[in-house]
Amino acid sequence: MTTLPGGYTGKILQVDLTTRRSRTEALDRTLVEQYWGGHGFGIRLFYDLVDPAVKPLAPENPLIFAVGPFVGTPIPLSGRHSVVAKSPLTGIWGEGDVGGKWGMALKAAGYDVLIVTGAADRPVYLWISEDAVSIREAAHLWGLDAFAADETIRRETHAKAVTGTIGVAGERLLPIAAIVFDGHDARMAGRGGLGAVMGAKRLKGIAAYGRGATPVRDPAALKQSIKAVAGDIVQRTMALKDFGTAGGVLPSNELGDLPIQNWRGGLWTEGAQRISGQRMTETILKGKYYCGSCIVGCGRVVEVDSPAHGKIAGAGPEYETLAGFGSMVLVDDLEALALANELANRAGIDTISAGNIAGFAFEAFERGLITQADTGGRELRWGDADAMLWLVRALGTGEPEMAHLLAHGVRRAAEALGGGAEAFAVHVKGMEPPFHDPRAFSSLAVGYATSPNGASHWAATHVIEGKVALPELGYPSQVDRFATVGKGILTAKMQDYIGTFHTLRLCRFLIRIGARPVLDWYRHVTGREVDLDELMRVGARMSNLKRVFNVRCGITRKDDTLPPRLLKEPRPEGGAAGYLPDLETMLNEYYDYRGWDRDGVPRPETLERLGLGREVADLPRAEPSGIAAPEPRTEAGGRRAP
Amino acid sequence: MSATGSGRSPESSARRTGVCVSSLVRVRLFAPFDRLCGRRDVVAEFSGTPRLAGVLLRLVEQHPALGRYILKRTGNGTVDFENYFLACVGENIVLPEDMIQDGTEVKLFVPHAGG
Repeated sequence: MTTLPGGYTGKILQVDLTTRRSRTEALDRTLVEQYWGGHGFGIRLFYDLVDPAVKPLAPENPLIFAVGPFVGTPIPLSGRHSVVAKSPLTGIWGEGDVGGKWGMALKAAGYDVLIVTGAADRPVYLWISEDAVSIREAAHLWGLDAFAADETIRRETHAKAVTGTIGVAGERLLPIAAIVFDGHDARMAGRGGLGAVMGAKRLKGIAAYGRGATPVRDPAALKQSIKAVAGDIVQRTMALKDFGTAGGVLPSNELGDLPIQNWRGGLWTEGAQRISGQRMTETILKGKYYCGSCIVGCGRVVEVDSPAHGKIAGAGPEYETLAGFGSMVLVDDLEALALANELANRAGIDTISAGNIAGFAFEAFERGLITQADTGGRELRWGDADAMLWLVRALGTGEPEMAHLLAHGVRRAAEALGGGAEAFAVHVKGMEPPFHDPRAFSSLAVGYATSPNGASHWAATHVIEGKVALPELGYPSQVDRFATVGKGILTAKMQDYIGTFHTLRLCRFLIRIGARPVLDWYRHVTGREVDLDELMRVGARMSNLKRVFNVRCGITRKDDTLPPRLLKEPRPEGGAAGYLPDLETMLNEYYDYRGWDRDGVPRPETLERLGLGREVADLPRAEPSGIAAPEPRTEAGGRRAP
Repeated sequence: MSATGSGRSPESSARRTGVCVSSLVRVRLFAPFDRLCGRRDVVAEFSGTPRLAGVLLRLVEQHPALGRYILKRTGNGTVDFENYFLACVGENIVLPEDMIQDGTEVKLFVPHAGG
């Protein structure tokens, strides 16, 4: 057997829920060297297993969970895991990037990858430990919320097991259903409806526990390398520790980044102050939550005990949730937002999609496209916290019928409602965007348009526009957030760079420390010497393979766009007033940099250069464009736009 | 640095005299900086046109509790401002090396990092 680099258990666990059989396969060295782990394993294995025509809720759509070589090592902020499948929300590539402790538990149980295929004929859960893998009956869990399911599963398996569960939303196959990891601590695979894929398999939960260690080639050097930067990490993430991601609400509002009133407002200063992380610290915050191996502790633990909202104790709202259920619908009641967060987590729904749906629904109500007849008499009025809470509960169950429609996402809801609703349905490829505005950070325009899973800010380009420097990638200082030229290249580079964080399973809040420590850690853990060019090549390989999959699902340039509200309606006031992104210019630059044609299809020579020559045959037959492609660049120090 | 209302407002000295011999800069503090300083706005007067770094150093001298977020003093006596805060003038994010003109309001936040 070929010896693997350090950092891996060397095992893939395959579970077929149709046959109720499991087996272990060896992790292939080529897979390790070409894709490293996490999302990389996910896309490669998924691509090889799946016909792109597969229906997202069909048994043939596998759920793949993967960790990376850093998981289980002392590397700080390295406890994350990846979840991939075809998305029920978008019908294309779906991926989740999850914090918490479940990934570490899977690895400690002895596995780098878990592939779940088929569908059980009745509810089950998986129990994975070092000693055995079992598929257990879960009829008694069906109908429980995600937290209650976690408690019961741990009682039945091991007190220290870590679970991933679905709530009622996943059971009811709602396309905004999430997978809830770590029980009450609620770290989510939120985007794209992966919870519905799990529900379609009648898989209520997955528990993992083990005591296995991750092999490290040079533990002493790794320890030194971590020590050299640990203080810097803590300093640079101080605001995250003190205020969580919620601390971003105030600057986001001032910069014109915070979406307000379904993306149509410009400034909401008093409201933002009332729902900020700083206000949370002064009022309902009781503690901090740390993901596995994290030294930052950006997670919030809150307590509320109020006549209006009852008692809540547990995971507090992140920035996205505060924006989604707060500024998007003008609700400035922090306790109500904490309750909304709790409701969403228990039901197992994505708060980013749900927040966008809330904004859409309130505007649809304002315009008379949704009425009290649809909402059981409830008025969806801006600023009404009770209305917001009603909607969150309704989205979690898919009841009444209007909520069921809304829980299919704003794209489908707008199509069904008609009446011009598409003009204010904000999504890309069917997935609603995170609450950072491409009219405030132009790179987000091309980032949302090209992200393989629909509108997603995972590439963190707005951080580079915000202030963080990455000299190794050609960004020694701040980048003008409203500039157009250079943003296509910035986005492609960051998608590839952060993409490798998703293979190693690092938290992207480490972006501030630069690439050198990451490369050193990779060498010390795996024993493999790689440079920044190789790191970027791994990222580019993943980006291109995801794109080929999506092209085979029918995605073309016409889908790489933004919704009308973000493309044509400037913010009326505030720090980004009047600005609209020039998407077409940025998109052309992006495609050229990537080595794709002007329809967004990877060129054969691009795929071959990245070791994806086999996939050339999967491309649609190209029409000659007559436009010569510039030499694509994937090296880190590539040309910076003038 | 003086609290708003306790001294003259930051009018442009250049407009009055035609020569920038001094600059008044207003710093608008957002949470938690306002709490740490005990006020929401502070005004500083500088000879000539300061860089943001100078404004921040003056701020920390007067309100040492801000130092934790604003800067780190290295062993060799230099000051590192990187990534601990976010400063804006109007719609523009400004960096420590940027010049701050007379009459400008600088907004100071914790870094922008929604997730």
